Amino acid sequence: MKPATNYALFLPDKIYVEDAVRATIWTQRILAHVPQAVVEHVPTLDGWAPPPGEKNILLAQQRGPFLRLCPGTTRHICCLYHNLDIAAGCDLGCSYCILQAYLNVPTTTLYTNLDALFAELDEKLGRYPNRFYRIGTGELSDSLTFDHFAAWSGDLVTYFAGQNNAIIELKSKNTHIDHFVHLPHRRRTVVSWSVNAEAKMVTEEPHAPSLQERLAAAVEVQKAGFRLGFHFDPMIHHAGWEEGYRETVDAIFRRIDPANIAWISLGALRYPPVLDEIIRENHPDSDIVLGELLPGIDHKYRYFRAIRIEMFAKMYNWIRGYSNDVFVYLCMESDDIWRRSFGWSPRSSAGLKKLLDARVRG
Amino acid sequence: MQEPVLNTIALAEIDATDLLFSLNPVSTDPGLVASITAIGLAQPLRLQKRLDHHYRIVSGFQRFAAARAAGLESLPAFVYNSDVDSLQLYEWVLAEKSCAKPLNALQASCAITRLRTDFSRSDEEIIRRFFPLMRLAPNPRLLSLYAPLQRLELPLQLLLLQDEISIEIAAALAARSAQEQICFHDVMQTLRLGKNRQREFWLLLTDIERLQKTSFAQLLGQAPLGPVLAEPSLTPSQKSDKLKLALMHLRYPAYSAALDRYEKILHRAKLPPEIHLRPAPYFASDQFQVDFSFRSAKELKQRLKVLQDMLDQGLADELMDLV
Repeated sequence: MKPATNYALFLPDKIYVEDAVRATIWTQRILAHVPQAVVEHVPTLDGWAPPPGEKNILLAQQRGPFLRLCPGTTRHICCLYHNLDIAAGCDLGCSYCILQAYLNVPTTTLYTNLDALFAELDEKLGRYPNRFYRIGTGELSDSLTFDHFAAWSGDLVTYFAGQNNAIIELKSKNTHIDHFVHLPHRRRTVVSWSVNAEAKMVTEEPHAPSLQERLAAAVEVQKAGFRLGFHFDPMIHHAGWEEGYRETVDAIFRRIDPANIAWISLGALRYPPVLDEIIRENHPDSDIVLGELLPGIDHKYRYFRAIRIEMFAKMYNWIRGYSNDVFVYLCMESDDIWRRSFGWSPRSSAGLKKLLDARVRG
Repeated sequence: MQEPVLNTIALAEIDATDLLFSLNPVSTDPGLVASITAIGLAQPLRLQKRLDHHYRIVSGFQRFAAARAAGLESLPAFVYNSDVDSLQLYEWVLAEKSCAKPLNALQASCAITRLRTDFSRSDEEIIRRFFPLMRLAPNPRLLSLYAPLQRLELPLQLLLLQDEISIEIAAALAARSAQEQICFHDVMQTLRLGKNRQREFWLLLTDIERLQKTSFAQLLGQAPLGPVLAEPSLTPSQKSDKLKLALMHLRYPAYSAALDRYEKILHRAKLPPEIHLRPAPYFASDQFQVDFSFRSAKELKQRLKVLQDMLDQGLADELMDLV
């Protein structure tokens, strides 16, 4: 019997609505989907701070650009991904989550001026028709975790189905696929799941759906013809990690056809020093801070390199045991770690981008 | 609130064991005793009459102790009736105590405990209503830091008052047993650790105790840590360095093993002091750096020969294997 997580469907108790987005269809849609929530209007966000409340969300206007190039990290190979900041914050509360140290929004925020988002995408994608964009909404939030009431996925899948030089990746630990799985998509959407060794899902992602639930959703999405992705990130070095990750690899390939997998990424646990204290404070029972994490050349804590290389090399071989064609890449690692782990390297961020683009361009 | 009335009260009617409004341990200050003996009590106490007709001290615990030591039989005091709300009086005490400077950490801890237990106030109310009176920022983190400090053993309380231990470490220690508190106190004193080093050692020790499922007091009592602390020939600084190395081996075994191998390679390479070979910090990359100095062509040849010998012995390959 596999261990289960304590996943509970998130529904906000209270929704703050900034006046600037009060009338948008995306605001109205959310309010209609969560009729039981108390709604409070906020004339302006200047100096506004909500009282503490874990189940509060804010619907607000995105004032900056929605689309940003992933900042990457010094002297590491980055996949040159674009983040689409449609939300900031998450309900899943994973122990390792960088958002604990990163966000400067007053509460979990969903941006509901999506007319501006699509206008910005039109302008950007139209201005550079020969550039290819891989875009994702899973950087400052989980792409699907609010989708059962926000239902943005349908808008995004439909929009990107009409694009020739871009794909959208919906990256999630959640299983809310109902708002897009039936839609025409022209394979311009990659639906991907963050996965881990099951023991770590239970202890570090206790409020997220279990591996079996994520894979059941992936199977549904596969049936609908979407490309899939899997992200083993962050991989956590722990007693029994080899069995744990191998079992997750096995579970994926038992249910998913490798031909439908756009990519699998591997990334070892890493975080800026400030997050170490936050994890210890917010998750005192988590033992992830007890790994051999040492300052790296980008000053983030990372596992001692021999440990990372061993983890990546073994994972690569386990995946290759199922398929020689599935594209496996490392997230934010240096050229030498690539070579020592995989025996080859894309050499540069541009090289990696080219390889990833080729997986989904056609 | 009712204005207090100035009265003369017999010391025998004052209950010195009623510490509801006390924020400090009560002690007898010889200077204050001498002053009261010479000129009497210049500043009246503040008392509250209780229903049993005895008085509890609202403010002036040290003055009361000194007056008693000076042999006074009565003293002047502003007296509040028993029907004055004690919580209001407590607010007054907090505001009065912090008017010149914020409460110290132990006073704040005492106040938080009192508000929680005797006055049944919620944490939210303590932060919102009482922290400003204590001149503390209304920050929940401060509550979690200050609240446990009451449980600190006396030597650690003294270090805290002397600002020789950080509040974060003090709060963490306060959650530990008396034996563990004294154990870490002794380590700090033996090694003369400043605040940054305290934190570094505390993190290493508490991480290792979690990894090895033991207590840090046990760890410090046994090899390899115990003998380092007990070695009389070492200075505090030498003990700190050795202890840290031993702790790093326990906390980061793979990294420490690589470091040991690196040291052995260096030893075999027999590099003269003019040649410096350095890996990336924590072997974070596969890059090594060599620099050397020379003052003549002959010296340059010598340096290059040493490096060539390193290559010939296969030591460069061994270095690469490390990373």
